[in-house]
Amino acid sequence: MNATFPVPPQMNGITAPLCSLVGVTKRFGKIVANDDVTFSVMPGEVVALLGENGAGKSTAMNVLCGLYLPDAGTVEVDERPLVLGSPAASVARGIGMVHQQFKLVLSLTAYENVSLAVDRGRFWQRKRPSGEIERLMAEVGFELDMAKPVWRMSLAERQQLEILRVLAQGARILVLDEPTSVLSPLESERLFMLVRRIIARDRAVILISHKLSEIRQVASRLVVMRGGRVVFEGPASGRTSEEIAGLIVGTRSVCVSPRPSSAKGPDRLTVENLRVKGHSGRDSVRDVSFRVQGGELVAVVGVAGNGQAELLDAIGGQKAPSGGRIVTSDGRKGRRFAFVPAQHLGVALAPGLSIEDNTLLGVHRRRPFSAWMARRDVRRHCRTVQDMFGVAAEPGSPIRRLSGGNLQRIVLGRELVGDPALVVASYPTRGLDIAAAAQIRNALIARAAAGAAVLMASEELEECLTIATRILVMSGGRVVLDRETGQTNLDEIGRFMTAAEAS
Amino acid sequence: MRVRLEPRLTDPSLPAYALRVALGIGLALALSAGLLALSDHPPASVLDSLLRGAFGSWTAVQSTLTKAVPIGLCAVGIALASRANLTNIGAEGQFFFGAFAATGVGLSLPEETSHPVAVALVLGAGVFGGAAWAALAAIPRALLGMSEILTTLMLNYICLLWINFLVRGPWADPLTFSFPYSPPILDAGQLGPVSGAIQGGFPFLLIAIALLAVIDAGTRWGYELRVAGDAPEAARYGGINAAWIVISGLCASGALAGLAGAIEISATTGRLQTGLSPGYGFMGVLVAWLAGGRPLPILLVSILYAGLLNGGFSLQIAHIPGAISTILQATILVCILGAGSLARYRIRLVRNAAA
Repeated sequence: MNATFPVPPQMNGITAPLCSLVGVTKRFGKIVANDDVTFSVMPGEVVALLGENGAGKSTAMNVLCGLYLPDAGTVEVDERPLVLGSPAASVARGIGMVHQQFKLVLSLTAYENVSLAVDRGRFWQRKRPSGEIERLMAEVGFELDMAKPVWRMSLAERQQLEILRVLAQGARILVLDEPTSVLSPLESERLFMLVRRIIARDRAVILISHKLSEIRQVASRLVVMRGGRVVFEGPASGRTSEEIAGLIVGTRSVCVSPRPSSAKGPDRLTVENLRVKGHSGRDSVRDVSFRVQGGELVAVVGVAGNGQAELLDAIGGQKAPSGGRIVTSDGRKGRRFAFVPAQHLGVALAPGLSIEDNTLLGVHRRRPFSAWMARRDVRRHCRTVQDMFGVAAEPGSPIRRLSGGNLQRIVLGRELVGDPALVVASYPTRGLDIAAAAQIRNALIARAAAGAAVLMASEELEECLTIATRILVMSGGRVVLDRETGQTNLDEIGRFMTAAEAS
Repeated sequence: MRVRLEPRLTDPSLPAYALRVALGIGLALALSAGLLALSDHPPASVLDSLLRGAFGSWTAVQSTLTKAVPIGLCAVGIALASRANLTNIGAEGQFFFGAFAATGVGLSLPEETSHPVAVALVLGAGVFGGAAWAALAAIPRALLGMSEILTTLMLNYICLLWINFLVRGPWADPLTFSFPYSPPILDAGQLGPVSGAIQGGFPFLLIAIALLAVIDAGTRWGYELRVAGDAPEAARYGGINAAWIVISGLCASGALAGLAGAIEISATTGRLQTGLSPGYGFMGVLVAWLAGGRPLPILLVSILYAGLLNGGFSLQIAHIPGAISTILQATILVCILGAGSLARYRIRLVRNAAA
């Protein structure tokens, strides 16, 4: 699992940079998202662009890709200025971005998606890849069935396809935005192999990630942003994860409270013989039974797509089970416990409404609200939710303008108001920076310590081993391991996660 | 040098918005003047008689307010449905079905019914009729996801044909010979003017506007409409019954259009006829859109629109072709709509040395 990569050859300093951002400044209203951002990318290197949520990484990349027009500054590609604010110009000069949310047409085949980007001008579409694309696939080592429709592809395959598409457009500077957040450890390893082959031919990769272990594996250089400015730029070799974390967070200290004691309360959640159907119509949760007691913090882990997400969705009431029983200590009428789904916008939050409206969702049927929701109560409630994790924003502004971290803080804050006895959270720290993740872990630990039962799904095993009292490993839709954290270790969990699918 | 349109982060403030709309109206007037000059009509005198016809005398104002009632009520209903992201373009059909129900009650009540009871029953029947006609679109939408845009639109035609059949067949008034009129409803069911001058339906428009403002300000139902309209899945997450929201939202919208129909019967014509509406339901869509769905602007815009309608009639009396007034109306609408939409963007000139 921890294959090491050879350190890339050091640049000799004579080569010209592939692209440079020079003094890029971008303001949104009063907020300065990018303040005099300057850094270069050399051919053949992997630059890790680091920073907390809202540090300005995405803004800088959107300027590079032509999505944002900066207020000041220039971008140079091959030492010639780039026409700013034009995505077409950026693509033409060899800049390509793979976004966190894939931009593929699900109903088309893999090849048709590539073709759409490369030769959209053709009246009659080819059915099979041209020689050029096949050469590219062989060069980088893609293993994709180009005749397969995208909706039948796994997330890892879709990501490969995205990368292929961007390369086929002639990209020499490839921006990957948190590429491993949807991948299993094994798939991540494969991705990094691809990355190494991609940079071999004088291309470069800019990698945005929060996972420090990965960064230490693949990046040759670090660019750290904080508060819209570049605060550090230098080689990655010889830096420990702690040092890198220190650069990202600055002087603030980040610590996680000790995990709750093992004192247990009454059963808060009982799941019996639960079955849930997945997208394909096959059972993605098969005959799962477990209980969670007060004071417990139970983490559900597994390789992505082994039923964890469906299990939590079913408990949260977002998916109807096809068999079995879910018993919570609350009454029948409506959900009365905290549920944080994996996706926020569109599920836990209504993207078009204000922050204030969103802090009411689900809570609006409980006291003090009645058929008439008094302004005073609404305002007070909104302030409580915002203060829970310190989200400073105008209550009337649309929620979709908040950063990912703040969206998570609003959802969690709203769900934890009123001290629920049961908390179910799907990937509560996914995509969050170090400080934000620690804040949320602490909140979950505090709930458990106060006697609530907490069930969370997570993709970070270290996180689970630090904060959970019990770990459930899922594989092939079943719970294959159910252990107290003290009685298991990383190796055992890894073994059960990758165990061959039963039946 | 390139020109870029960039969306603004914040919606423009009210004065800034009003300024842009005023610019739009100015542009519309200039364009209309050009068109009139091209067709050999003196622009100044045409615009003058248009304005006189709309607001030039007390009678003109009365007549404008009378027409603002059905337009405004339909617009409030359409704006209400749009809170839940429902597009009700069937206000015309709901208007007529409300008018049909009101006439039905008005024709069958015994003559000795007291005035307040008769009026309440006639108007109540209109509310109920409009809601029932909207339910025909709302229930399939809520249960099967059938597009309410298509169903409300097509139900308009069914309702118009139903009215046509009634006034020429079973409900035809033998005293009006070949005119497609029903007999008049009972006298006690007729809604008189308030304070002797303004049409009796006008207070209902004010009440509907106030109700919309209250629903927006802080009712749970209004909140659930907004959530269900914006993100249906988030609504389910929040324990909101989406089917109920769709049905109640569309039926309330239809009820307002139905009330408008009943008011036309009770306060204006006194009987059902095919020409009861010159398209009030469709004008309501435009008014709701122009006003951005906001309560107070709906009141103002529906009065302005009614004025434009009346002014157009007075042009025809002055021997200016009706087509000219339609063209003027359309020019003004396009300019205001354009100004309103563009106000959400800013124009930025970009200089680029390299190309």
